Amino acid sequence: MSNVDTLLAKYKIDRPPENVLRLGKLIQGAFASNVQEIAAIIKADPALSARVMKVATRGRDIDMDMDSAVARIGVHQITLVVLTELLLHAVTKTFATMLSLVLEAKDVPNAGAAAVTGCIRFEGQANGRVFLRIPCGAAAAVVPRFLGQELPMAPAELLPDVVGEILNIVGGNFKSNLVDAGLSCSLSVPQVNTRSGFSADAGDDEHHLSLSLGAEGIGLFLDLIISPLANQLNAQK
Amino acid sequence: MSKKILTVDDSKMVRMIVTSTFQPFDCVVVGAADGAEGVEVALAERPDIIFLDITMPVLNGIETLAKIRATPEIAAIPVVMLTAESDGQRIGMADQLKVSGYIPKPFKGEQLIELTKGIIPLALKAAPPKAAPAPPKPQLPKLPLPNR
Repeated sequence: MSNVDTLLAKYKIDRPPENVLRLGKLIQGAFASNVQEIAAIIKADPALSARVMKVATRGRDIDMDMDSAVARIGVHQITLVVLTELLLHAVTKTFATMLSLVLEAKDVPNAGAAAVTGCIRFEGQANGRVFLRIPCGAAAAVVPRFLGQELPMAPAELLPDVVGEILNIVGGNFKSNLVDAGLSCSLSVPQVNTRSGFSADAGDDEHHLSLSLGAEGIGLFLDLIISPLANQLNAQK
Repeated sequence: MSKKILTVDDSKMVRMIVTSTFQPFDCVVVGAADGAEGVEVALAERPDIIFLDITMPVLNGIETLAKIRATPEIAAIPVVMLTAESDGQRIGMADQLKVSGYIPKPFKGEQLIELTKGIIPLALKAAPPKAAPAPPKPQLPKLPLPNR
């Protein structure tokens, strides 16, 4: 039993799921592995396989094997997809535990409508930012679920604080997965505002992946932007 | 005797959730919004247990915990980390500083209650005494209606 496993057992903390650990190892080794090795790890995870295929085929109905898909999209895009899986794990866990909502990938209408938008940055051996957007119209459904008590003020007034805290928890969880994968980084304090017509403003050298999720009539949007990891990983060696 | 719980978290939302979680119990929940304030409140209030976040301004949770352990008046108070940072490094640091528990966020209120019960006795609030039934209204004698 490793030292970390001993501590997890001592404090009765669940070990991260196997797929999260596997993805962490994939990020760690992505730049030192060949296409076949990366493809083999991805194939062991159905959700990740589906997402890699979707990115490689750009959503079109093309017959492609995993080796070709990995070779086609390249290691930076693979890293983005893997980090997105780790982020998704953190988001779904947070919503299931704190709001009793089982989120699924879903098309959410009115992506440009007014939404409370939170942004958190991670910096270190992995660099990027995460955006979480919850439409203002969902406040009445989201806020009481999160606070689970009589509210001191209208849900709409509390939504920015709730989005900030959800993002804080999601960010912390995501960061812990990165650190356990060997990518040490720190988190910024979440910045939250209310706006319409979101634009992520990804730079030329950055990679951006956007998702919409929903459950029980509540929809939300998630964006992950990452800077290339190669330099940091090479410097680490 | 009523117990005192200190929640140190820069999130007002988390402080609200902790307060609401212990509302059915015979205890008082006090809060602090950062580590430095947490140490001050702990010295002033002498809580029976402290829930401590890690990512906070001014003094982070690990620094706060070290300060608590180095302050004789409050050094022995049980501290439970309540934080989204649950990587091996952080848990190891908290373990070195003798934490009584570690709850990763996201969390459920039941986890807080269960862990707290294992550290300090926690009793439900006594039900308020039933109000005595209102005395019957005096009955006025029925008088014959005057003939008009």
